[in-house]
Amino acid sequence: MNISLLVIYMVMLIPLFSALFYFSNFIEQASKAGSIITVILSIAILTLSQGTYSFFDINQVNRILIISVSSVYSLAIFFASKYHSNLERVEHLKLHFSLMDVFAFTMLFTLLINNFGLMWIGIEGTTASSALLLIIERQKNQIEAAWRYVLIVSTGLSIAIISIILVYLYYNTLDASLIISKHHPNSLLLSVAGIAALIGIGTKVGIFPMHTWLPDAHGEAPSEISAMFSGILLPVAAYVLYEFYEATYTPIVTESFFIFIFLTLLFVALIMASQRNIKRMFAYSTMENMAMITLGLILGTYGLIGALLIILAHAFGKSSAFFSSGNILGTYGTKDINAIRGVRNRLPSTALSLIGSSLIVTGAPPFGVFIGEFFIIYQLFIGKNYGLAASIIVFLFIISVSVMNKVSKMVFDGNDQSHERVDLNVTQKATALIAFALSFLVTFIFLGGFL
Amino acid sequence: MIPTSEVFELIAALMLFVAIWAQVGSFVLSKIQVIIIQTTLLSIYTVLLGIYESSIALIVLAILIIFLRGVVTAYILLRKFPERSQLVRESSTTVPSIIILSIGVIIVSLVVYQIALFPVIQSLPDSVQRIANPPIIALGFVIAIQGFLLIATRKNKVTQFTGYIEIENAMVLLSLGIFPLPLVIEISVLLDVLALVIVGSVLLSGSLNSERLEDLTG
Repeated sequence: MNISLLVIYMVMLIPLFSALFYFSNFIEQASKAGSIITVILSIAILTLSQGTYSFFDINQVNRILIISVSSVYSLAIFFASKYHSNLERVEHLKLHFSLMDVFAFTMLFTLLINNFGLMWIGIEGTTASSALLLIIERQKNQIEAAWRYVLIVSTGLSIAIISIILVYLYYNTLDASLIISKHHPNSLLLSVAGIAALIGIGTKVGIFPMHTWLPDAHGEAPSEISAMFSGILLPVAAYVLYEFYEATYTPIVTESFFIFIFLTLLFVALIMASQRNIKRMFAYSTMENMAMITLGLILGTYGLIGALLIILAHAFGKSSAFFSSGNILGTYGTKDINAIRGVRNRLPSTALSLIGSSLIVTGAPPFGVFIGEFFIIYQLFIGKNYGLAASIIVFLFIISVSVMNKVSKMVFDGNDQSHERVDLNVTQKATALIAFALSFLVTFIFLGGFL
Repeated sequence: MIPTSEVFELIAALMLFVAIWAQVGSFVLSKIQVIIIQTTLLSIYTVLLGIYESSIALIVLAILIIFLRGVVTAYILLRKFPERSQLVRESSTTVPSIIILSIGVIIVSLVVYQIALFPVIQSLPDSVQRIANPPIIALGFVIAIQGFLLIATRKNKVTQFTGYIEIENAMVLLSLGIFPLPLVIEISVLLDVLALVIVGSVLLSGSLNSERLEDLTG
């Protein structure tokens, strides 16, 4: 086994190895150590040349995603170690850490495997490994949200099996890199396969109207799990959808992607202003970001660069937003936006991370998401899709104003002197700020030519 | 002597009848019987196809289907019903309207298949058309739609899960009718579904009915 393949195996298997510490009293320490090693190995993967390695594939998209998965996984582990420190049942926390490790493994496996069938297995595995992460506190709402998540996503993904059958029928292989390297003619069979993938995997990505599980799961999950769902799970699903698109694209499939992405952005623009729950608000914001990532990936060239920028900036930015939401929930005891006021005085560092991350994920300049969206819209203009580009600009503006209006009220309104400053745990504050800082750095990493 | 193709079509048609039984039955426990019977029929279909095509892979798949889905899945779900008092009727069914809806959906599904999907099969190269079995594909498609209907019209979690298993059974049937996937993929799918059954059974520990909660709206 050569060193490159060893690195690939290690980046996947170290989280799995950490999960085995469930049977000891050191699961927290093992998960922390494992996640840090995974981050280091994911950076090592950046140095590998693109191509296939045995059963695995490294390409320009998945190597960026591997970095974001490992980093957000690590931040989430550290955040969880303090966020759940008051949990009564220790075994629940041990299971939580262990499942987070398995969840990270399934995502990394999905990204690296070079086979459409096994990619589907991986993405379905992420559902099985993450569903129980929602119910750490065993609350009624959490169980119901987890049930909807399992049922809707699994049912949606079943439709994607049709796509796998048809791709196998057409190419007589499921080797992803081999299939994508072939140029295929316009075909009715591939059109059906592409649309089945869009509906099936689109359910996991959060494409309208198959998104219904997403606000429930994000809203009820513990904050670090919401961060993992939004920051990395959904982009991993978007990557799988992109791989299927590359294997099946025809004019009908491309049109269908455009229509569903347009509807997703329209839906989010319409519903965002009426949001009352801080975590559901960020969940709907994720739908917008996923629609833009998917659009960028399928457009290619400048769109692809834009998608990669959004993937990285959004992973850290949205994690910071959910970590901040968790800190607010812990202090105020509510997710109701109208009941949260005076964050600036009570939680100054959280106010900074919340405002900063909200600006990032809503595409405010000069952050990475803004540059990414600019590239994607530019690519739409190059492709003469003026109507779609103009609509998207309007939708993004409405979404951005809606989110920032609500966040500004929470942070800047009601800051009278009677509110005492609340001292949060250092780790909780630090993870939110580090995630925000990393998201901010993405712009400079891009401008420095390191991406 | 009955033609082999008609035996396959008969088994697939029986799977559809079992799916309709799931629609009309209102006892929750009968849904688990639906899973057992439909999975057994699917397993018989697969083993006969394996014998007909001299394929060891299909025979292995048939054994795994009956074991993992017919036995293990049913056992896990049955463990959720430790007492006879829990053999409840569903509160969310109105049987006469469900029967009409179910039959209507079957007709619409067949029309959609004929208009939208049959041309796809006809567009296949001759070598593939010899393998593909249009009646089986049609039945697989209709059973999948019945599974979706079961999930959409019911609130009971066991019934919703039965709908999901029906869809997965339909996907295996579709795969066998169009172009069987590699054995390693089929086995992985079976194991994945089993993992979801285990996770789902944990989530069944609370209320058996899916509920509309104020916090999960908007």
